Amino acid sequence: MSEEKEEKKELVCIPFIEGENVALAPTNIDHIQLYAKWNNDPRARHYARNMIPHTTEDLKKWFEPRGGLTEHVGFEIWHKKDKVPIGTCGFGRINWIDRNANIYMNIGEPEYWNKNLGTEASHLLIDYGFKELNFFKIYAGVFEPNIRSWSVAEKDGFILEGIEEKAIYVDGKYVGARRYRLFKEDWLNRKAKK
Amino acid sequence: MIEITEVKQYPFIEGKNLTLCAPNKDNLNLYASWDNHPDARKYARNVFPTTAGDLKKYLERGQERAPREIGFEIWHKADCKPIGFIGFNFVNWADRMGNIGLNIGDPSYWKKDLGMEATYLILEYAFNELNLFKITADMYEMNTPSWKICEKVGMKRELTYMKQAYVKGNYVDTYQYCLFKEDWEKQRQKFEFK
Repeated sequence: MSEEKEEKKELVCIPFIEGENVALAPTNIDHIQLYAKWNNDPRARHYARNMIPHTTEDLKKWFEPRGGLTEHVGFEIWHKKDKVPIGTCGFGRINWIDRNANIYMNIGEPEYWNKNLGTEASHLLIDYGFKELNFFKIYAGVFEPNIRSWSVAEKDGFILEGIEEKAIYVDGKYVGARRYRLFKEDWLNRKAKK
Repeated sequence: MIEITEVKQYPFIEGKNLTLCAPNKDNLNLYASWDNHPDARKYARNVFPTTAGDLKKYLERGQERAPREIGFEIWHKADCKPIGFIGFNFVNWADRMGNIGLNIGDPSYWKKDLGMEATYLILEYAFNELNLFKITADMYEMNTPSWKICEKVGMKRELTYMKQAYVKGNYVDTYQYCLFKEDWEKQRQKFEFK
């Protein structure tokens, strides 16, 4: 009990992007136990390709300084009302020449699933990608059985670019990967119409 | 043109006209000349200059037990010299998937079906030695020689990524080709190499 209290005390949000119900905050090394929990949680890691256990030591490497222009921008998703981090999201494989990046999201706390929080966080992230980082194209790869994720992508206006056949091994069988894309002009036009 | 004073090679896979050899640190200047060659680098995604020192670091990185990258020098048997590189840009051991890349760095060896033979050798290695399940390759749309090779060896174009790369002032599409082991087994006899 006292341990739990201590953990609660450490939870701090340093907002970077403010939304209605969630905020995107920089990842915080003090929350590393939570990140490890999410990365290992059987439900949350199911489609996230975490096939090998992640220790907090592994995750500490995220925080080591790297040279050059970053290829990765990651956020913690902070639930404003409940004052807890509920997952991570960001851009990986950023290509600054071709101006594209892979978007990812992981709501690590299953009790926050199916509440449209992923959709809200994805809107904040996409706006950031196009309006601040000046991306030309954002893409996403989602495995076929991960219906929750690709439904969010389709709701956001991502276009199915194609399906990679038998691209990943999940639950004892090969499944396909859906590839989605979103161009900046399409995102801005869509927002203007709303 | 870089002259090779002392011929040293470490054959690993023998073909009819070509041998795939372990990369050789004595040939660093030659490798650098390929990576920087304006015609050879055009479709190889080399948008930054590569020094011999960069390549030295690549060769000195040490080998993991299940490496993520595997590279070979392509040795021309009759002419007794290296003419390019072929290998895996990445191998995903859990999904048993490998992404291959080819660069005949010396343009005087283009249009001689040598890329085709090197691709045949790497596919045999991928499926028969590494026991991979799926091979992928990607290239720019206008890199016709590259995707023609893929089609000749029976790879299928599974994806077109729209405006995925910025080449010579324009956004261009990239293609992804794939081949499954079972499909390779059915048709490998068609190839006369070896």
